[in-house]
Amino acid sequence: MRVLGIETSCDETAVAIVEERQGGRRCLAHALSSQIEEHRPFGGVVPEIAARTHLDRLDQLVERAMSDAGIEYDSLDGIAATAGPGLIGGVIVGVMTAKALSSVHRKPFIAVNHLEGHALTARFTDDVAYPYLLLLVSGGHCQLLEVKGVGHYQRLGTTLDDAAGECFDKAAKMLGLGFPGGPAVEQAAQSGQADRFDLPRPLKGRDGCDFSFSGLKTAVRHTVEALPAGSLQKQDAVDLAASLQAAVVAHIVDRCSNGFEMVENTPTAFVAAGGVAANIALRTAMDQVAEDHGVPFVVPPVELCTDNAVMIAWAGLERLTLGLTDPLDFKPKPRWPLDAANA
Amino acid sequence: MRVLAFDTTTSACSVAVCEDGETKALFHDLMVHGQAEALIPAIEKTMNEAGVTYGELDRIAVAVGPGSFTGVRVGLAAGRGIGIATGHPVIGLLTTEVIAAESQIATSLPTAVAIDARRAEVYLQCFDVNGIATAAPACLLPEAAADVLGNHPWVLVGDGAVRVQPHVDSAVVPGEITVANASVLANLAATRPIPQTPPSPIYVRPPDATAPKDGGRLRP
Ligand SMILES: Nc1ncnc2c1ncn2[C@@H]1O[C@H](COP(=O)(O)OP(=O)(O)O)[C@@H](O)[C@H]1O
Ligand SMILES: [Mg+2]
Repeated sequence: MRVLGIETSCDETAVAIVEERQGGRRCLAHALSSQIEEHRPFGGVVPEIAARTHLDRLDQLVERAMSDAGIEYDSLDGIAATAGPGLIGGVIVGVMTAKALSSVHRKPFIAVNHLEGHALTARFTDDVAYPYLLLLVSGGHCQLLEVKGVGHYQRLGTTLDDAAGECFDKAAKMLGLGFPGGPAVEQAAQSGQADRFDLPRPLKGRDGCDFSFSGLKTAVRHTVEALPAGSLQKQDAVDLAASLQAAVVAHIVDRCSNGFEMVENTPTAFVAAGGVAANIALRTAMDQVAEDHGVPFVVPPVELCTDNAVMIAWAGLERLTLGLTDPLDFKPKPRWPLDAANA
Repeated sequence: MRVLAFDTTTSACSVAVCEDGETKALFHDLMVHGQAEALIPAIEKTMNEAGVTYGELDRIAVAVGPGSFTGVRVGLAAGRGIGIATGHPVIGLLTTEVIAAESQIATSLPTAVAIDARRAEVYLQCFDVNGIATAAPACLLPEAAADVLGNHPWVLVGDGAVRVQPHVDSAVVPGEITVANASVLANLAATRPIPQTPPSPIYVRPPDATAPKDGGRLRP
């Protein structure tokens, strides 16, 4: 089984081809183009610029992936694309391109939920068995899910306001650390003192595993405003970055620990995905949470944690294997919760 | 010469298969939204009706705007996708040009095309009696568009014409055509040279984006 996957829901344009044979699974090609430079001047992703850039680049990336894989369209079994949730202008570009390929070569079209792509990546990389507990932490999402099977997700908690990556990005902006903020905060935190500023621990002691980051963002603002007048000193910025990272990690640990109490079935593993899962402090803490609950901690390599097309091709392949395909009049969805209960 | 042509840039989804100037099949539905859902099934239906397969086509033609940003991308993503999937050349034409050409079949008068640009504006482009554009399309308020038209005897067409008409001189007369017809697009594209690169969108209006002051820093 061989599937081509397209990802265009945020600021990465990507195309991948994955294959599963008796002997195992592999990625035949992954062509990815990041739009970080296009959005940097704005300090965040501008939807219309993203949509335009996806259209400019996607067809060439498809051709590059096909030639890197050295295969013909005929040898594909399906064409998958992120059909939501995400920035709808970009999603439409990916979906229309996939539908066109599917129509011309008479291959099934698979509309993939971007979050399902993240959720199933650990099966591609580590063959994790169901059910497992998944922490999805990215620039747009922060949720804890029990993954029971393809299409079977129980959302245990989600963010009540901002996503974790968004919190890093906004704080980095305020501190003048650069864009994207996550890596900038992590780097600054290395030379900072995490106990210098006493930032809040959101929802501490509260039941459930919902998340909240907007209070931390506000606390960073207030802390900067309370500093002596004048320009922000380098040491203040790095200490605040370290304090923020510590607070975010502590909050996520607290919530995930609660999540382990809420699962219906004992999970086989604790899995992390999403761009923020690149954060070393968070990984180390999550590893400990997993150990405390007697399960292995699985986190895909960074390039498969952030937005990519391998996860979309793989989710497409898993769906296709189960006969889950979609019609060519499928409507792209800007919002698309993973668990049917919230659909 | 067999051409598959389609337009989703304004308030329609129009698909045609034409062969040597003759329309083999035409799908033409007015719709403001929903082209991302309607287009590929409409293409398949039209091809079936024409009895033509993708492999038997000689070229693909697609309207590149100006129009709705989303509509422009729906058509171009599909057109460029079909282009790489079939290996056939893809020809892009301005939506304004297609609308003017259809209007001029009947009138052969100088023609002004106004396309609804939302936010109370229109995309305006004028074509002389030979169908040659007098300037690139521009995004204007209806009053400003009327100033451009002056007291010249234009036939005013396009789905933005109703916005401009109240402001124009009596020399400017309303025409019939509101949206692009894919048959006209196909026949225009049939005679065009084959471009070296896939067609690019014509948005006219830049993206809405303002860089935050000091990059959003709280302090310098
Ligand atoms: N090392 C890191 N530490 C913390 N956050 C990070 C790190 N690397 C990336 N991020 C954050 O991850 C997010 C991007 O991840 P991605 O999965 O592409 O998210 P999305 O597509 O939802 O924006 C950004 O918010 C970025 O700041
Ligand atoms: Mg991203």
